Parts: sequence; C-alpha cells; structure tokens
Amino acid sequence: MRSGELKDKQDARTAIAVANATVRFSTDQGEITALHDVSVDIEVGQFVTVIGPSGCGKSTLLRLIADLLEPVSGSVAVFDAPPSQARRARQLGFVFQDAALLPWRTAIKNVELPLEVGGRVSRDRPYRDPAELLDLVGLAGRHQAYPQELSGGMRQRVSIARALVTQPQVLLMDEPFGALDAITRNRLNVELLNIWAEVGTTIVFVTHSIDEAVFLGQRVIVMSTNPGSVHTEIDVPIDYPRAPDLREEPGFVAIAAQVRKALETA
Amino acid sequence: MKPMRTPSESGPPRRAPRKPWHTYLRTAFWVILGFVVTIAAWQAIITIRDVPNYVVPPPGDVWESLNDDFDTLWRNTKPTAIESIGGFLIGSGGAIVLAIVFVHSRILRRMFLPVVIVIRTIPVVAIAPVLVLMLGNGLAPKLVIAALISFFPTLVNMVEGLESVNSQSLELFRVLSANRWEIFWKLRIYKSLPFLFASLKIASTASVIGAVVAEWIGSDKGLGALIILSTFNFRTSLLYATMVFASMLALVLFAAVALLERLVVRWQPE
Repeated sequence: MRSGELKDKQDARTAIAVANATVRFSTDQGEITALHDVSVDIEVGQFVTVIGPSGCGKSTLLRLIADLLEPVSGSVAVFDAPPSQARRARQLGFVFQDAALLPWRTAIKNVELPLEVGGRVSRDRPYRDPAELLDLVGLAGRHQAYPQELSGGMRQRVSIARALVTQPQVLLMDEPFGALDAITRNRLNVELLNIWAEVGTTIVFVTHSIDEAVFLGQRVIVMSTNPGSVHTEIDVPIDYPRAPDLREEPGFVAIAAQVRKALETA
Repeated sequence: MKPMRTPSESGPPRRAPRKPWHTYLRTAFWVILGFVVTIAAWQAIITIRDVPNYVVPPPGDVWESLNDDFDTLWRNTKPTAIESIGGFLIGSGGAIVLAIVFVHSRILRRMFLPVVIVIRTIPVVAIAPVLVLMLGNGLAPKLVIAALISFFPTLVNMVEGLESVNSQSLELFRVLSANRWEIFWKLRIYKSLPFLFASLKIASTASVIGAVVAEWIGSDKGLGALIILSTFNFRTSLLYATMVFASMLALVLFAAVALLERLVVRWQPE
C-alpha cells in the first residue's frame, strides 16, 4: 500500500544525513562530549541498527535526529531539511525504552494521542486508523485496556502503534525491547520486521544486543565510546523475511561474530 | 498483511477483581471494636480515678447531650460547615491557580514561593485575631482563615504534582510537537491529580479547624462559639458533644473528597 508509492517517489533518496555532528552536555563535572564528529547516512526505507557500549551516545544520536537535541557543530538533515521541520510535519515517530504510555488512557486512547496534539498540522495530514494499528501490532481485543493491565511486551506494542499513527517516514527506536524477556523480545523482533514490511518506513533501531542488531538490520552501525563516535558499519546481506531460526545459520553467525569483534575493539 | 495475534495476549480487558463483601465486614468489626474499647476505657478511668463530671464527663452524659442538645448543635454546625466548605473551596482553588502560575513562570515562582512559605510559618491562631480586626465579626474572616489553612498544603503538593512529569513523557510530547497548553492539559494535569487529592484530603479537615479557630475569636454562632460558650458555662457534656459534631463535619468533608478522588482518578498512578 503506502510503502509502495513512498518508495517510487523517494527511491534511493537519503532519509537521514548526519554530517560531522558533535554534541556536548554540560554537567556538574564539566562538559561531556556525547558525540564527536559523527557522520551517518541512511537511505529511505532502510532498517539500520545502532549498537555500542553504554555511554557511546547511541541514544544521543537518535535524539539528534528526532530534534530533541541540537549539535554544537556539524549538521543533521531529515529529507534534506532540518529535523525540526520533519518533526513538525509529523515525519518522525519515536519509540522510547520504557513504553512511555499515559496510564490514564486506554491503549486506543494512547495511540490517538499524536492526533490530538501538535496543532493544525496533524489534522491536515493523513493518519492511520488507531484501531487498525492496534490490530496490526497484535493487540486485537485489548483496545480498551489500561497500560497497567498490559504486560511489558504489550505496552511496547501500544507504543509502536502510537509512533506509527501519524504515518511517519522515519521511525526512531531507542532500545524498545531492552527490558523484555528473551522470548518476548524474539517474538517482537519478528513482528517488527513484519510491520516494517507493511508500512515501509525508514527505521533506526538502537540496541545493545548483537543478536537483535544483526537479526533486524540491513546495516549495523557499531559505535565506540569516549567520545561517542561511529566505529564501523557492517552490512547484513541477508534477505527478508527473516525467520527466527536464521540465528543458527552460518551466514548470520559469521556477521554476529564480526559485530562482536568490532565491539571488542570499540 | 494479516494482523498478528498471540493467544496469550488477547481476550477482553481485565480489571482488578473486587474484594469479597465479607472482608469489608471484617474490617468494620475491628473498627467498631476499637471505638467500643476506647469508650469503655474512658468510662473506666473516670470511675476508677473519680474524675468530677465537669472536668471530664462520662460517655453516657455526652450521649445524652448529643440527643438533648441536638437542635443547638445542628443549628451551630451549619455556619461552621459553610465557613469550612467555602474556605476550603476558595483556599484550594487559589492554591491550584497559583501552582499553575508557578509551574509556568520560573521568575514568579522564585520571587513569591519564599513569601508564601514565610506566611505559612505564622500560626493560624496568630493570624486569626488580625483578620478579625481587619474584616470584622462576619463570615469574611472565617472564610479567609479556613481558606488560608487549606491553601498551603494544596499549593505545595500541586506544584510538586505538576512537576512530577518524567523526561521521557516530555520528550514524547516534544516529538509530537505539542505546545505548552497541550502538555499542560494532556500530561501535567493528570500527573498532578493524585498529588492534588492527597493534599485536598488534608485541606478538607484542616479547613474545619480554621473555621472553629476563627469562631473562637469573634463569633456568636458556630461550633467554635459553642465550644467557648459551653466551656465558660461548665457544660462539659455539651463541649464534648460539640467536639463530636466538629469531628463528624471534618469526616464528612474528608469522605466527600475521597469519594471524588475515586470517581476521578480511575487509573493506577505509576
């Protein structure tokens, strides 16, 4: 559906371009360089995973793209425009580490939140039916449940549906499955790939699991710490759809080993 | 593509199961027993120590006074109730408005929060005569004193509640390009409600104290005036009966706030 026309229109275009970006925070201990001279290019429709040790600035990179932070030097562009413009045009969806659902709203009401805020822009733009999205993320029959009645995995499903309701062209995911058990996490990985196949957005997915990074991404960006910077980029030339038992195949194991080695020298 | 569905995660929404009725009955039993034991102890001490009736009346005399003087008690409860409820509404309402101002203006907050805290440290008993001098013997000083006493806990809690939003929620609203107004009405207000109700419960009972204290200083009606009158006339039973009425009034206000909270805050705060 929409993914098809999107790809025709923007084929081979760069969705996200980060060029020589440096981010600093001032803390009690003085200035901290969270990102140093980071350059990343992500094509439209790509699924890119970002991995690195804690403190390497992978979350900072996402926040830079989401217009939650600004670089002190260098530049960030989303569809050749400043991220603030992409944000206001509702081209960005963000999935947080903990689902960040509002406990006084039911699942469906949480998904509707992006349609209620953000001014006229949101009402003028096309959006996806919240109920249909909740079905898509596997929550048929739980639309009226409150967050506290849902498991961690289900909450994260709601938060993915919420991020998708404005039909964003870029989906930024900050360790969304980090707090979940391995079984739920693996299942959600498969489902996320299915969702991606359906909606066709560009996805930047931050994780600290090698397995998850290789299983999901077409490309893995390995970051190193002190200061946070891009260490290497590793391509994952494995076709989709990817099945869970892919993890035992030699091709997968070899790439995972490559990522692990890169992390050891990061 | 077909929607995905896992059997373990589907099904109708679940709610917290209701407690069976007999657990309430068991709770009520222990509560009643607590009161019975206390009243029995009261009677026992008076009998053993031979305390004169005009110092501490026996429970039976208080019960008699509650029946015989019911009209007097009820007549005097009405003005106190009006003062308490009025003061509570004015004080809490003002506190909510000021809390909203403080949350949106760092400068006003920095300037006036210390002033508010200093005023708070003045005991009500000290402010009350000043207000009676300023505002006379009518309803006004009572309303103001009850309002003042409700004001402070609500202000402090409401500010804390409105600020209790975590950084992730704020980031979410920013990604959604929400403006301050939307952040306020869709996030801060809800976050503040559990805090607000906690303070309203305190303020509701405190407002009765404020009204009674105000009546002590200058009034010929109300439970406060009745306390003064019955003390001077050594009508100790009536004094105790008045205290029972004041306590009941505070309990009714508290229960009303608690009921409202149950109706409004239907979710489980994190």
